[in-house]
Amino acid sequence: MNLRAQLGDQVMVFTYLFIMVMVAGSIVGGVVLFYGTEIDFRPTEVQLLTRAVDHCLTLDTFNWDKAQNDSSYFFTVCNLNKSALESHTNQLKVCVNSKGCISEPHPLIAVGSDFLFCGLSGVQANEKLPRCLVSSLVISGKNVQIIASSNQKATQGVA
Amino acid sequence: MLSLGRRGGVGDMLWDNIVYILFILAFTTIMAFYVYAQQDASAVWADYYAKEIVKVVDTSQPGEAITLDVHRATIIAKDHQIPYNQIFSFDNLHHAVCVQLSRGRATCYGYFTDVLLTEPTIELGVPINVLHFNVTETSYAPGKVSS
Repeated sequence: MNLRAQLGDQVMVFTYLFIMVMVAGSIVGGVVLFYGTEIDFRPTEVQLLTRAVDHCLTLDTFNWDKAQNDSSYFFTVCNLNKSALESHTNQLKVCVNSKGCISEPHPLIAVGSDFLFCGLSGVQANEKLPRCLVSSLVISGKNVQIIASSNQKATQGVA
Repeated sequence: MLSLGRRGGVGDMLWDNIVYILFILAFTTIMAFYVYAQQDASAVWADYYAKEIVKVVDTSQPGEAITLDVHRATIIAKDHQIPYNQIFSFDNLHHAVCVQLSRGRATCYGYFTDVLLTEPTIELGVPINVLHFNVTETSYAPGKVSS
């Protein structure tokens, strides 16, 4: 009888520990949910990228023919790092006199390949999808379309 | 014999309860410290500073010297015993700004401008704490630098 009672006491310890772990997990989960929400910088980032491209294309010194033949010229003049854009999951597409830049097979510049979501209605309401900005401007008689998108998330790195 | 047995039983029960109470107290204390440590939202501020610096960098030109108010960041980092020279670091290889305000890993965010960020220094009490760094052309490549 006594042995059985002692065994029962030992079993209760595990129940007790389990409840403790559940309570601790709930508190940690609540704190992470409350403080762990990331600031959504993507809308600002696509605006900055569009502004950078817009600014450089409107320069008097911008050579359109050279940009058409050599994509590195565009990145040098616009002071953009192509590999950084790719690694940070930014996308950029620039089209000249195109009927639809999203599906344009021969753009002036293309970093990334999936721009279809930029044309979907209601896409901006879904936070899981990349942020997208499509803008048009006329430069020296050319109809220029710029599509910039960002899906960059902050990462944890070694300081 | 019976009374001795009872005494032993009461003693055991009391001892068990004391152990449980001590365990609950230790658990509550640990959880309270954990919640208190998170209360200054160091992760949120690290995210904020990383993205604000990236915003400045993405609109900057080579040759510019940037000065930013980082007073709040220095206060949070000091509370978490993070040395000032470890708060801000620039990963020029991956074009990223990293901010560390608490123990563990830093929060990093990437910039797309083709520049390098050099000579990060924190100046204290002017009258607030500020971060200075230089934006340079990519021909000069020092790798990773910290404030």
